[in-house]
Amino acid sequence: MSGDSLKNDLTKVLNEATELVQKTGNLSDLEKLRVKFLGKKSLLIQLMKSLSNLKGDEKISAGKELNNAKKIINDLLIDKKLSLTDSKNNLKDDFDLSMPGKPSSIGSIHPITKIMNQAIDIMESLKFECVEGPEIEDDFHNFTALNIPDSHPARAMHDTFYLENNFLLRTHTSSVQVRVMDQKDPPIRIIAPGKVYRKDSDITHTPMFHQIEGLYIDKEVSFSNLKSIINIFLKTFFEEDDLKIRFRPSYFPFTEPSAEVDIEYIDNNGNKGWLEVLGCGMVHPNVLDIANIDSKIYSGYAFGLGVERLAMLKLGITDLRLFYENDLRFLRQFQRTEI
Amino acid sequence: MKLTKSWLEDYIEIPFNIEELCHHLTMAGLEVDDVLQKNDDYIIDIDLTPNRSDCLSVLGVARELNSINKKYKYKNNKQDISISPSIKNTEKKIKIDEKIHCPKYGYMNLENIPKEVKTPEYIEKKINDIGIKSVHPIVDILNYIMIDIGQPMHAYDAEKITNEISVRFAKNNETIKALDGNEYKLKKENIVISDTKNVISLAGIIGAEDCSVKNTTNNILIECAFFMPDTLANKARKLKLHTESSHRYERGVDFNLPEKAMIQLQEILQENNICDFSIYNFIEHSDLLPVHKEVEINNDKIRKSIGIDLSDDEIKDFLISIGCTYQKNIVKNPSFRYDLNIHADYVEEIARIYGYDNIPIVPEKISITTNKTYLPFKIINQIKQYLYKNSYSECINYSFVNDEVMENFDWKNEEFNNHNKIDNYMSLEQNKLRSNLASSLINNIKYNINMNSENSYRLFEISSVFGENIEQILTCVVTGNKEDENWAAKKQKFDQYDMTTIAEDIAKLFGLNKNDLMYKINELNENKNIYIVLSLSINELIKKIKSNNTEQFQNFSKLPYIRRDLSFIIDISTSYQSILNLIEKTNVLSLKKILLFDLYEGKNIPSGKKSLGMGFIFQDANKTLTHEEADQYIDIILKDLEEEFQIELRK
Repeated sequence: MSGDSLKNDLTKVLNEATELVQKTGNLSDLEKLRVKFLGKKSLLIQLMKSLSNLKGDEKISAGKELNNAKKIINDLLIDKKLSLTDSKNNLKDDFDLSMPGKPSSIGSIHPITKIMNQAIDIMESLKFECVEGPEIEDDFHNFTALNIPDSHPARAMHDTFYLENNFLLRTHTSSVQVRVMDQKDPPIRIIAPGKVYRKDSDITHTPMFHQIEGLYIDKEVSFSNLKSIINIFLKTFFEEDDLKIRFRPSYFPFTEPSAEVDIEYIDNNGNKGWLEVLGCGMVHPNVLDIANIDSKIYSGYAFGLGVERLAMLKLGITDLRLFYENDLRFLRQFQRTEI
Repeated sequence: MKLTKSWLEDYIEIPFNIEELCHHLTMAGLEVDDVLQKNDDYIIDIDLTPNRSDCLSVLGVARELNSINKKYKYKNNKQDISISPSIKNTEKKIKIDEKIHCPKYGYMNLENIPKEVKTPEYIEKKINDIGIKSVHPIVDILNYIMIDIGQPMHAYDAEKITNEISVRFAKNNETIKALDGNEYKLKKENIVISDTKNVISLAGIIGAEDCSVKNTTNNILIECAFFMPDTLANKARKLKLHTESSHRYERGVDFNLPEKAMIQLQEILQENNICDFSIYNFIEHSDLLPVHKEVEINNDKIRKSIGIDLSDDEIKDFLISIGCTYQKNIVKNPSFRYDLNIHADYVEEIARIYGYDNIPIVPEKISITTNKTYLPFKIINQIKQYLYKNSYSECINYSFVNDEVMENFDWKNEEFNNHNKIDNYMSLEQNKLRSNLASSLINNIKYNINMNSENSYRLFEISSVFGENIEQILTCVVTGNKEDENWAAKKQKFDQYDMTTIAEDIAKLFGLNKNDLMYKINELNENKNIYIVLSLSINELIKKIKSNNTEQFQNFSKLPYIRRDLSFIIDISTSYQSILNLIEKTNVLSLKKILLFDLYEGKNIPSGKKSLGMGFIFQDANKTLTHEEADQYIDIILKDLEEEFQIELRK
């Protein structure tokens, strides 16, 4: 094998390969060409095998030539293969990426559920244990055991729905406190989410709404601790580290001191104001005494979150009634999964 | 409680702007609901909590401001004037039957009230500013005094009542035609003022119309009494009454006020030359008046329970500043603070005066280490996630419904009586607790059909239903096409088997079989719409999950399987489950899977029959199955089916 004849052979092979590859219109013909030019029996590979007969510089230069030719043919094949695959999509398939897909299977989760879950998650991470209590209550659990005797003016604050036999629809989730204290000894650290009912219906009140009650009883629980937990909760919930929070004195028969908690908001006109988000306080000693928990040893705090209020603030909902109309134009706005 | 800034300034200096004043009030627990500017004055509306009866007067609010911030300095502009009653007090025979409930009763006579006499201008302006209409000069003055210092009084037309007055409990079925025009039926628990003939007022709540003061009234009897808060508590509300007077008495009026109120009335009458008036008389049982309660202050407990570092002296000063007397750790409440009875009440006062905002934020050291998540909510949330990812939208409806025919069925579609009627419902639409969720969801769909132009609706709700027991259930309601209108799929209507899939999937999510669940599937026809309803007991599901909460690997055979199909005609009433039960009894161990690939009724099938196509997959754990063995197995199954259900093989 002389250098010149090798060169001639290679040029011939290359020309033939270039021409045939170009002419090929499908992948199976292209595969046949690959076998013809680069397969075991191809001229190129045969020539490569016979390299061992050459010596010295001649061997080196012939090797280079052969490798070079192999690379060129290989590239030709690859390019052609790509263009064939590509043109197959373009020519034979009219797939339109912008077309709507087949019907979506994503529905929606009610915003109250979402907000409730978010609040519960935060509270569980703060080691509150979630419990539930009945929506139908008796007078004792809803009022008396919470230091609200029959004659108490605070009863007027709770317009109660009554059922037969003096049963009632609970007016707050605080009734669950009583049931838990009845069953457990301190330390008690619980939250109780659920539906509550009050005979009240206007733009800012619905006869049914949702609350999450929190209760912590242990030795040496202080108002400072209550401030701390509420701060952590609200800042985590609203995902705002410098959320402005204020506690102001209020009155609930079952807590003393009692507080209402406001957060600062800025309205569309840039004016600052305060919005009430929850009520809380230190558990009233009478409540502990009724539950047979020694108020000389134990103290505690309790809080009650209004879920609708939190939802309205976080989601920017201004009309409370939307929650219970179940209009799909409202519901479907809450399609996002929780992350 | 409404008042004006200028009225407050009768008592104290206000060296702050209106925003600061309102902030101070709010942060003291006297939440300012609303402020309205009127000329150069402000009308302040305070949302008072029921414990703070002491602030139901301008004097009380001024006193509160002074106690939280000494910059609200008391003005000392009151001049003592000497009062000279112009007439004698007519002899009245006052009989207090219920001394315990009315330990102090005062009266005074006004005479010769001129027809042309007018309410003093400054009084009229003040009460009008806070929304009280002028009615009669004397009534206006009494209203003014009530707002000013907090003492309710009542004026009777003296010529319409006899000279003998008693304070007693009402007799059963006694009635009063009150000032508001309504007649009230009284009970023994109501304290009344009566003359020899009639009830002339419902004590501390409202007067009778007959003896009320009118423009023609010449002589007036003024009543200024102290009624015990417990006596009046709840009484007005039970009669569906609420007056400024009852509001104050049931929360507690300072028992030292009646004399002051009488003096103030005399001063006003004299200064403004309104009419003749007598001296005032009081019948008092001072031993029956409320006592100042003594409480021993525990300084350490106060510091610990609030979490602040105050000295003993500072605590003492705080208590004195709110009007308490303090000696050797014993504190006594002032007569106007009915809410200070036990130690915790004083803890609250200290925290309040110290300022809630100033109390430090201190994280607690909790001894609880477990971090449990609540299983029922986890389960419910998994179901909600599954449904939401299968195109269902979650609804939440009120627990109340209208007492219609459908509501007489519980969710299991069993009739039951109305246990859960609401006694004091708000409207007939909401007079009963619902025993199923389907009717609410169907209403939701109807609402949405009116609002949206769609032809596929898929809603669900998980809530409590109130039947024989309270139970949490899931209900899915669908109607119309299986999918939203689209270009790709053929329109297909929902049917009950779509709901079977949901039940099966939910079972699968928790490693159960649909037979483990308690559920119902119904089809409801209403106005040409077909609603498909699945209801499933969450309570039962949770019970089942609790007893079966682990996932275990089971070995499976990797040897080849053989499938045999059977198509046969069977009675339409034969349930699929009974076929499965029968096949199970044949005990063919190599039968690994049964699938139903066809169900057909109608043309070419005799009526009362249905055609089923079933596939049977056989596989052995230890050896490769032969076709002869598979044929043997299918013969066993076929024979049993023929014997039991008289099936007929289709060719």
